[in-house]
Amino acid sequence: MKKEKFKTLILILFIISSLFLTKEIWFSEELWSQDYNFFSKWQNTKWVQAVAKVLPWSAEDDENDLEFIQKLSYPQKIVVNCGQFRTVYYYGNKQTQQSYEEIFNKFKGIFVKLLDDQDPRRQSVSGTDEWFNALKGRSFYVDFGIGYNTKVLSEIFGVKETALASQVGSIRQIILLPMDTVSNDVTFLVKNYKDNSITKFYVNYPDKSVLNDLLEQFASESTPQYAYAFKQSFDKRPGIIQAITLNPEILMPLSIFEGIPVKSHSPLSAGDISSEEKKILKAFGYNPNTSRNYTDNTDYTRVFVDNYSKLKIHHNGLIEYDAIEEGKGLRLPDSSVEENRALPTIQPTDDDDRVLTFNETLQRVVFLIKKVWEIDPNLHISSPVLEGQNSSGEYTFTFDYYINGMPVLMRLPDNSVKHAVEVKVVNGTLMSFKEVIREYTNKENNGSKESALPIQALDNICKQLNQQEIKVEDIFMSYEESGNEAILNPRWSIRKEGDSEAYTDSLAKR
Amino acid sequence: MLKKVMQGIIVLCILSLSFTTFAAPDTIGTYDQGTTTGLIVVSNPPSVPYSTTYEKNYILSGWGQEGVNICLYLYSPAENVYKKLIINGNSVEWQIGASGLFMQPVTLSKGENKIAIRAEDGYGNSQVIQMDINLLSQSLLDKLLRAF
Repeated sequence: MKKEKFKTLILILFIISSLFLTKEIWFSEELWSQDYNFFSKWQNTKWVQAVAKVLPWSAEDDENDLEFIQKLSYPQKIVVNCGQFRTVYYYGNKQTQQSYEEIFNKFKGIFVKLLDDQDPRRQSVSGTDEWFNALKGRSFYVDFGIGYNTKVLSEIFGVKETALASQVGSIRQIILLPMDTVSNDVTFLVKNYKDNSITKFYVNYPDKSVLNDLLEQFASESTPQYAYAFKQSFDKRPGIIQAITLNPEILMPLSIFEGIPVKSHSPLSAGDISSEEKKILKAFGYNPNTSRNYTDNTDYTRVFVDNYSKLKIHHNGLIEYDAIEEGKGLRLPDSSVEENRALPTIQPTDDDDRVLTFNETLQRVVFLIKKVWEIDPNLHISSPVLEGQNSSGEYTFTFDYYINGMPVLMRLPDNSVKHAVEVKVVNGTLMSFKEVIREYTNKENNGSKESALPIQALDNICKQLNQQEIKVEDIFMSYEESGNEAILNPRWSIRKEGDSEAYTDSLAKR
Repeated sequence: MLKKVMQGIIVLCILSLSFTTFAAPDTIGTYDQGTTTGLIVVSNPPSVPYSTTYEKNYILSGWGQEGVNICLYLYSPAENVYKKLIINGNSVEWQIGASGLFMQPVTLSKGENKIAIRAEDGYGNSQVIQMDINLLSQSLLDKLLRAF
């Protein structure tokens, strides 16, 4: 009797174990052929997706994604002007993040009122005097860093339809003025990104004292002193000699800038990275156990190949995906698909013919970045967002790291990438993907590094470029990423008008 | 022997002459305009010689030829000359770089501030720009801003 009971127990354990292993094979390891996936087809049916959206953890994920997309589009720079005093707040600077968010949240609340207004009161502004006077007076200057299609920007801010889009097609810079104490209006000066025309909008906002308090509070933190290029007339060409002109809105600190060196490290550089590799493979629809692969003997890059694409994982953190031709690459899922699920290359969908909007594509790209590697909160979108709806659904996105408020310029040895993330998508299908995965930590003991004055850096860069005429679009502090394990020191860089390349002061002391 | 001594003295005279040529003088007269124009252009203050401002922390700026040496002077009413501006024991002098731009912050006193900028190139040519910047009081500015 005892023997029988023992045999029954063993049998039950075997059955449980086989059920468990089957579950692991089907749902965790997902060992099926890439081209046919019953479970993926089942997941993509509309009723399953509708149920998944209702589930509480799914809603939370969606919210986190949306919040992250909003943060990706936060302004690169906010300047609080209060007469001769001003303070600059940069995206990604943890030291001033709280102040940055406080100011931006206030600005966003009022800007959404303007976006919501179906018939905003407006007035065209001729010339640039009013714009520059606003910068010299009491105002908040917001620079997104890239041009945004107004409708897309409005959607990111949560307003689906906005009358502003018909009046100003694209935006990069906005000034908010609290104005006088008599009326209940605040004023927005909105500069059209494409033709630089300026339009003034009025928004009813009785609680202006809050804005004035912010001005007093945050502009008084101004050290060092900053000077606008237009105030020094550096945007004009003198009759003599020289042909270096600056964008009038360039802000230059007048004393030595102290930046924090950072340590740069690739999490793919050493040790056993098999679990990371598996996660990356699954993100791109590769089966970790069956995909063809080899190791490049020159630099130990891992290369994976399937029928439609090639994936490379470099030790310096660079991940490269290329589809063999348009339409054959990974079909980007939306975020309703479970995060850890591997995806076949071609997913069946009922809406194959619909062209995805910019926002839909961006959401899918963000979801993919999250699947490849944990999304770095220091990432910020750096490609202009000028087309709301592209007829072929073709979009190119770039993202860059912003550490301590400064962009990290990619300077990898073979110049294969210019940005931290570069993605090309054609109607929801991935054409190419490049990401440089790096981790940045402030150098121990937080030793700061003195940099040259911007004029000195400009002198050095002009010497390096050795050109007669230079129109400087921007001057900014930056880090340079070479792909090695290194300490990165902050250095001045410039961008020239009409040139996406950044030129760094290489003559500065290291 | 005498010939060698004379040669040595001539060489010393020539060398000392070149040093005095490149070093900015300690004082310049109120009528001194330099020997040339066109070495530099002052962009801020926008109007020379008279301008007004509310900004105590003022920025003198402009552009000029690369390699031109610039020195700042402040008027001394007691001696009726412009004397080198000394900050923390050092005179305020710099050389214009490849960009051709220059910016120099100065702290103004309330009322009249008579400042001179002297520029000199490597050939001994000099240019002097005198300016009178009147610093108005911040309280006046605050009153005006509140009124509008």
